[in-house]
Amino acid sequence: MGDADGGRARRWDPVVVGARPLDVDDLLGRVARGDDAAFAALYDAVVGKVLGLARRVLRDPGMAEEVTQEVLVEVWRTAARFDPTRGTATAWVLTMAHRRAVDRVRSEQARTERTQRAAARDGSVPYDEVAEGVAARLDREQVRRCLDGLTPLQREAVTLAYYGGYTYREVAERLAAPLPTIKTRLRDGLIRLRDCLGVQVGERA
Amino acid sequence: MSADIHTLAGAYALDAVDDLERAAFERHLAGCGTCRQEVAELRETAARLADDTTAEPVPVALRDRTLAAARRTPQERVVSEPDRPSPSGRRWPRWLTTVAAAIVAAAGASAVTWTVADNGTEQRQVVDENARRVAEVLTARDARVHQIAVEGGGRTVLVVSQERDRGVAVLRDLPAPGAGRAYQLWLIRGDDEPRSVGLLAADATTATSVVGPIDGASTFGLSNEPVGGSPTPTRVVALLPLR
Repeated sequence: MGDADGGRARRWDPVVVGARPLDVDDLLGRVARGDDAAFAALYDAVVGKVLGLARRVLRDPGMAEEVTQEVLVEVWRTAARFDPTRGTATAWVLTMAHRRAVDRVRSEQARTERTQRAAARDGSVPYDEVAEGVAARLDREQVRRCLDGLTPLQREAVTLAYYGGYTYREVAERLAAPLPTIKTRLRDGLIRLRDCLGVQVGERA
Repeated sequence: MSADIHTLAGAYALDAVDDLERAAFERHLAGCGTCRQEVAELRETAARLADDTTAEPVPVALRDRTLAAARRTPQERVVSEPDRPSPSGRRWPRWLTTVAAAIVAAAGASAVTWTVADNGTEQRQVVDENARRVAEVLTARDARVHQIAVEGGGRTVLVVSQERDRGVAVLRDLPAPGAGRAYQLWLIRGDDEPRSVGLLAADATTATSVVGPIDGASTFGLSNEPVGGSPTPTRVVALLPLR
């Protein structure tokens, strides 16, 4: 089917009957059709998480802002690729953000001392508890509680990989553990987190 | 080999692999449906870890810069998934089958309206016949899912199989159409006049409807019309591009 059906848009402009708050999945669907108001709303919905994640991984506010802008423009550009059967829109955006931040931190290796990233093992980004919504706080507390439910090795491995941006080989080195063990801990740690958080995509067989 | 590489699932979901390992793992995923399911869930789980990093407040200038940069950036138009082969042909969400099955089971209930449209309207087929036709579309190898929120509330999901030349429209929780009014379904090809492919009962706000033939249609439309329908749509409430 070609795109030479612009006449349709003129005749078929829908009348907006009433706006309801839409979730991020809905917003992303509208972004895929070039709706820039939806993009602004999507930005507002996810930017706190994207920027927070980029800061945590990159440990550099300027770079974190650059990565955040790149990721959100990429979301705008490729929104049509989002497949709701593979997960939520928020996770899609954050997956992209994490990958971008990790690529960046690895490419910075030559210039930056790796030890700086050791800070990723502890300490979180300062945030304004008052400004944070109740739902966001509950989500965060749930994540912390579930992380606490992992074995120490699972928790260390998952934390270094996700927040520190380390490869599993680097994680194994840092934790002085055998490679197969770390691979296994990353997987069973995530599986335990998944079950604790009640994450489900589609319907599991 | 397959069992061995699959132990990378956690590292992969956490982006803790190098480029070669990522490529190898993605080849593995291409041939393993249950692995894709596991990885999708592990990625979703990993993304939750970002809940613990939320930054407040965010600089206002970043918003302006980002929105401006997006305005300058052209969007990809086509949804292409060549890197995600789908051996079983199941691109539609599994929940949709459940929804469809539930609707089939409840087809006798007044809350559910069945419309079977075959380039016209022919309503109230027997339930088994409906179930068969819905299943035919949902299980087609090339079934694609399109969905959109409806103005005023509710959702429209349309599963289209070009192979079968049919679609299944699942309409959920639409706003009440109003006294003496009903929802009408349309397919539009290019600049042609919209073609009516179904009409819900007056007051129906939830329906599952087999629509077709698709016949090259590029857009699915839902409109609010006087009971009995209109020759052309007058009050459009949802437009869903089919590409």
